[in-house]
Amino acid sequence: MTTLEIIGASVLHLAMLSLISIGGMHVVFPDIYRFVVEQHQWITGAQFSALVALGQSAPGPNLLAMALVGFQVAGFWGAVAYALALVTPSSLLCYGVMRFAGRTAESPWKRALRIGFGPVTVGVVIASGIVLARAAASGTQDDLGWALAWAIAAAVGLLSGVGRVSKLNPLWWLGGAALLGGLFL
Amino acid sequence: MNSPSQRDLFRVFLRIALSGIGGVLPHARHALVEAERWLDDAEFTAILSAGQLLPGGNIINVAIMVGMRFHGARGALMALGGLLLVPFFIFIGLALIFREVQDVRWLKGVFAGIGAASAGLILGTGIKLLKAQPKRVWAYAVMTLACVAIAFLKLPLIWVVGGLCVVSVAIAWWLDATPHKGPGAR
Repeated sequence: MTTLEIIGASVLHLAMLSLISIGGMHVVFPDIYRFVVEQHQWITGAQFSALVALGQSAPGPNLLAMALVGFQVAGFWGAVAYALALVTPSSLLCYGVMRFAGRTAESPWKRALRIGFGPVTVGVVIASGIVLARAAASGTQDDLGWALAWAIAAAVGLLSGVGRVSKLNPLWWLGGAALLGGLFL
Repeated sequence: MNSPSQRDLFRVFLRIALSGIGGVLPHARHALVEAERWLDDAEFTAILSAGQLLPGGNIINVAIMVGMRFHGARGALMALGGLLLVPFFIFIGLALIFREVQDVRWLKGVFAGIGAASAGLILGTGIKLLKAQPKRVWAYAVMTLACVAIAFLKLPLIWVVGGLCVVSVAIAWWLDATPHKGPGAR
């Protein structure tokens, strides 16, 4: 595939995902992983995982992590295309809905939508964590490294999700894991 | 309440984007409600929860709705531009650095480590969201199905969201209409 064909195919897929990204952008990360890493093998799982992590360590909306993926797949214009493909369709929809049906007040059907979307979003977000942990573990050298990567993911997940330390700045987790990774992985 | 110019929209959303590492929303509330006084707390909550019903990043939809409210389509563009433009070029810088250093042996370990931690942070987000869900059998069933379908069966997201959302919203609607004795109520 030429770079242009790669960008074209990606834009179509990401624009579709943009329209179903209910509950936020990391809901679509596993499907982008499926498309870019598993189906097309444009980058490795370890690269994908590192790029998402870099995205979380930098200031800005988390969809820009996918601009990093776009850059790795197809250079500067890949980054532009990935960012625009993810942001444009959902933004136009949001604008349209607010322009023509613009009420922020609560109503019974909105309540049903909110309660109904909730469990789907939770399931997909947890799946997203599992897919990314698997990808990170695939970047290690041996079985011990693989186990350590999973242990880091599980520990950070539990501590940042339920512990008294759950309000800690995420940079502490990322920094600690960078140290562990540099020493042992 | 203050009323921002288009330039203010760009400037404040840029500041929100740059102040937020791993979660921009708390900074958005602080900036829009407390520092700039463009919205009161109830308005912010209403905008945020309307945005959560639509696809797209939560902060992205907040920017669009706040921008529209003061300056229509142009306002939405200015707020979005503030949120995305400068961070995009910071990310390009990161991507350039990553391309150069990704094959350095000891850095591979560092990247695997932060990759695992960032997966953990997303798991943590999932756990926090889980605690806010209704404690109902049907809700746990939908969560489990969604999680297994994506993480283990590796099904396309569109099938999972399309299929499960219809079922889940229908159950929520029906239970809301009959609040006391639904199928999942315990």
